[in-house]
Amino acid sequence: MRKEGPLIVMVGAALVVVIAHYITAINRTGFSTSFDNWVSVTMAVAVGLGLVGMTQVHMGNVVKRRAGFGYSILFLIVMYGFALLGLITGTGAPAFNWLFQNLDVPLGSTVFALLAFQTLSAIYRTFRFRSFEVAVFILAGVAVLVGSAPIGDFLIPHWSSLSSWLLSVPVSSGFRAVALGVYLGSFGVALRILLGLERGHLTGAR
Amino acid sequence: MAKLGRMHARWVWLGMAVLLVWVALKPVTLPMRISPATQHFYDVIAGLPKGSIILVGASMGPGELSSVGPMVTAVAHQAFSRGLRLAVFDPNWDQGPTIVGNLIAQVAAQMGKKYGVDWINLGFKAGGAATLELAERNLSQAARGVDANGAPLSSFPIMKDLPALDHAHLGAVFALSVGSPGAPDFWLPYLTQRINVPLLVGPIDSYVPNYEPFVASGQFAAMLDGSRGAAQYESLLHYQGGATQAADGQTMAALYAVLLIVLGNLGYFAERRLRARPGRREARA
Amino acid sequence: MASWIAATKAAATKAPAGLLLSGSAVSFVAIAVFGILVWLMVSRARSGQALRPIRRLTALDAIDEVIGRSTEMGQPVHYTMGLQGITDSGTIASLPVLGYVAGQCARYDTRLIQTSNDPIVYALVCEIIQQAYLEAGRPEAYNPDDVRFLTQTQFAYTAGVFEVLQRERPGAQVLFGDFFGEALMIIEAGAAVGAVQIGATQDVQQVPFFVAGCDYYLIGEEMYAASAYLSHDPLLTGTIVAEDLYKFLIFALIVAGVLAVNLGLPGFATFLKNV
Repeated sequence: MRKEGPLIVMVGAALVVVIAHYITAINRTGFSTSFDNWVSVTMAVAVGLGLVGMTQVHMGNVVKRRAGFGYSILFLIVMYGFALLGLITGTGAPAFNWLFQNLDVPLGSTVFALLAFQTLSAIYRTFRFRSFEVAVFILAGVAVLVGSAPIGDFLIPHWSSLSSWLLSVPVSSGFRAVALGVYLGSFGVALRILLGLERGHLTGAR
Repeated sequence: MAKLGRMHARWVWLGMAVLLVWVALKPVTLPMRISPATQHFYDVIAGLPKGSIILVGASMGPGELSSVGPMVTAVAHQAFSRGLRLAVFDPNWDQGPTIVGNLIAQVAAQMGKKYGVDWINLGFKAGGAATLELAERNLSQAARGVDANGAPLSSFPIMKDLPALDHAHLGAVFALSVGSPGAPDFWLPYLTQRINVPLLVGPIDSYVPNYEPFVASGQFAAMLDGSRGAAQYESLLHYQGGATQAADGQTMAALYAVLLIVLGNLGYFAERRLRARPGRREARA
Repeated sequence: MASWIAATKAAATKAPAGLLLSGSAVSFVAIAVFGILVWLMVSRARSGQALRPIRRLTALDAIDEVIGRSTEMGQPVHYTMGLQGITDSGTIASLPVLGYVAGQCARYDTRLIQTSNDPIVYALVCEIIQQAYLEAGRPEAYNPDDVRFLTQTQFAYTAGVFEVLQRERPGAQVLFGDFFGEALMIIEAGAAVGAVQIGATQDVQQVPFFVAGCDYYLIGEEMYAASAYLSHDPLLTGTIVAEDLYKFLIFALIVAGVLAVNLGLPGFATFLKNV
């Protein structure tokens, strides 16, 4: 019953949501919305679980004086401080919004900006003319990279048109093929779950 | 020469940082050609009747502010200047509506537009597809009756013209798309395809090729081609925003990437030649 | 544009409320046909009829090799399943693989570090890894501190993974799930500490980064075949065969559309376009 219980709940819930998505009469009852509210509640509980896990790990670091435990103290202060502020003042309050705009947003943007640096080091590390296929990959990459920047048209007129053509014809054709397989694969996973064939997500024991 | 292929990543990053600081201090601003895709995006918004409401799907996080933020600002510029109205909403991305709302508030303040009349931020309301499906019938209920700041929706005049996200009340949907759920897996199947409203998309650069088939099939009414499209769109609107400023950095990064490919390959072939010498091979083994 | 808007508005207001929700009939039929194919193939497998085996997937075969390498070097293995929650098909496909990796790490006595981005996934991952250690006969080797929920924020999670990679310096890294902008950063950070990397994602945009950056990789739908490949379960293999048959069906429709347009059969072409 340890495996069957969750399986029955999951298949039942999935069937209701799928039917409500297609059948007009059931969709209009708003039944699936109640399901969604349950998901929100479950998520909130799960966030609490994550909070407990993080506290355990970082408190462990502090108590055992592991290397870099100062960061763990900082982490705990920021995590609980931000959560308490949100709970007390509400997420629309100016103080919360100020912290969000001036802490969360710039830090997130900073790490995202690292992507440019990592992309360049990846290009440097991997773009080597080892074979014909890699050569095509590199040349197409350079054409799109330079064509996407204003310098492309400045160096060779209509370079951006070549870049657009590459993106919208050969690249998007390849993407369509891969995407088609991915969508079918997702369908397959969903059906395997509905039929109770795939249970790895319940215990991973398959 | 072989060392050219074994440079540590930190030198690659340092070179990039120097170039970016340089273009930030000395902008070049090369002229831009407007692509047909960007022109079409502009035309779709320009073709909407005055007073139409555009729903802004704020599917983004703080990390993507520099990529798609300029698109939001530019759309707000065009929309407000043509007498269109905006409503920000997202049932998936909890931080998106706050960020997008702040961007639109700045443009609204510059252009003298009033909150609650010309635009509104309905905020993040959890629930994903189910919330959106409910919003198609009753937006106020889906938004839990309040805007992003907790003010009752009944106090805002714009809400009288937007009781539901349906064909009769929405002019278009402008969806940001930086991941999943995004335009093709959320806004298209759960809203625009069901209510027959044009879907305008603002994706990050890496999603552009993947979204081309949706544009070709007409499922996306128009799309900005990432930061390049955003810079062209700003150029069409005759102002220099974040995307135009970023274009110089993009140019530098592209040229630097080409230089790195050349250096890496010089090193690679030099090393291959070294390895091909019999004595060397033994020494290395 | 204005005329297009007017035309679609008129069409929408005229559409009657039928049994199926407006705009969902095509996907309903598509799912039904696919469901029938899956049912047929699973029935064949159940009745003991032979199905074609899944072709060799090098990235999955390499799992044992990279864990063995980490064991020899005395370094841990890092496993990440990206950013999505438990409702995502990539995450679901990743869980059986995690179970397999955890089992192998337990057998080789190699430390496994897993980082999660989603609290529900985290709870499930704890359970899966603990179960795998139990089944490998080494429950005492399971260390809850090595299974970590970092944060739900994309780039904060990325920074957390950087920290794990720099401090723990794993000998191997497995990226299996749904990844976005952080994919290349994690791959590069893994390469910087010398980890051998196996990557699999269904996110089409990230596939080039996986191909360029990882030592072994699965492209798109190959990752969905992982649980069938690793378990050798004929019922799961049946669903993979059904997917392939469905692909042939779609391919036939594409060819029919191309022929219809080029042979001047506008009626059929319009029908396909509307579908």
